Amino acid sequence: MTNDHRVTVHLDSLLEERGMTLTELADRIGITLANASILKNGRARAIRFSTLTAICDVLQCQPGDLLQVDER
Amino acid sequence: MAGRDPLAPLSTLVDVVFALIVTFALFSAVVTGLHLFGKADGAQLFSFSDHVCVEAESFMASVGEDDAPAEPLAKPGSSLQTSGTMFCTQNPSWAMQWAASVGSILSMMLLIGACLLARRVIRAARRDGIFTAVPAKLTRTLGWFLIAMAFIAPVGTDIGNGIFMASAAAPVLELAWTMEVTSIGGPDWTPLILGICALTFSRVMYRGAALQDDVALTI
Repeated sequence: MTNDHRVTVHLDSLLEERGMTLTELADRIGITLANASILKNGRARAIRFSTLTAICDVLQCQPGDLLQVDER
Repeated sequence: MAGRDPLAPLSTLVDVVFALIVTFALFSAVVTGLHLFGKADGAQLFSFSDHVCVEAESFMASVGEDDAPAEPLAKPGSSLQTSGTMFCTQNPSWAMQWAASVGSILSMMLLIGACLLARRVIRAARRDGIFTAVPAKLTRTLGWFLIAMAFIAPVGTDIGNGIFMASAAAPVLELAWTMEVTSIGGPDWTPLILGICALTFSRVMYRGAALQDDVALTI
């Protein structure tokens, strides 16, 4: 399966800055640890606005802090 | 409606057909066993029998006036036509019995093959989900099998019948086994249409599998 996008998810660095574990984040935003892991490892194809809102609420960040489009 | 098992109708049909095939196989085994011990005279399995008849499609014998029935068999304004000519042989050789049985054997192979492949599709779909790669691939195999058999079955039947008739016909008729093959009326339409439907559904399943991946990886 090839990646057809250049979006990088900075979930690991945000979690490290907030001193939060992935399990704790998954619990607080109401997704499974498996899905949180998919998101953290950059294997997700898409992210729902509701999930993005919940992550930003918990991590007190903006979508731009979480997602980045890499240079070509 | 949404809660119903989408595979249930096909699964039920395949189970019933499979049960009939198993029953037929058991019955055939019993008949063959009795025949081997000489206790089933006149028994017939496919065209393995003491008296075998095959209908010719490429050849039609004309019936002379002497052979015409004394009384008309059809009402005035209607006519009676024979669709073909039957070649019958008493105590045929094994080769002739095999030749006459080819059509029935190919039809049985089509039924059994389609049934087994459909069972594999159903099992894979129940295990992995309908819109996944494995059932899609198996459905594709089923489609190609049906399409291939739609052409192989009639050709094989005609070759078998041609060989039987060439063996049964007197030399004066100059019947070659190829004559029956050249009179092929076309493919067997039912498996052909079902095969194309299976191939189309397989492509839908592949497309569905890709969408399923997208859904699974949407967080």
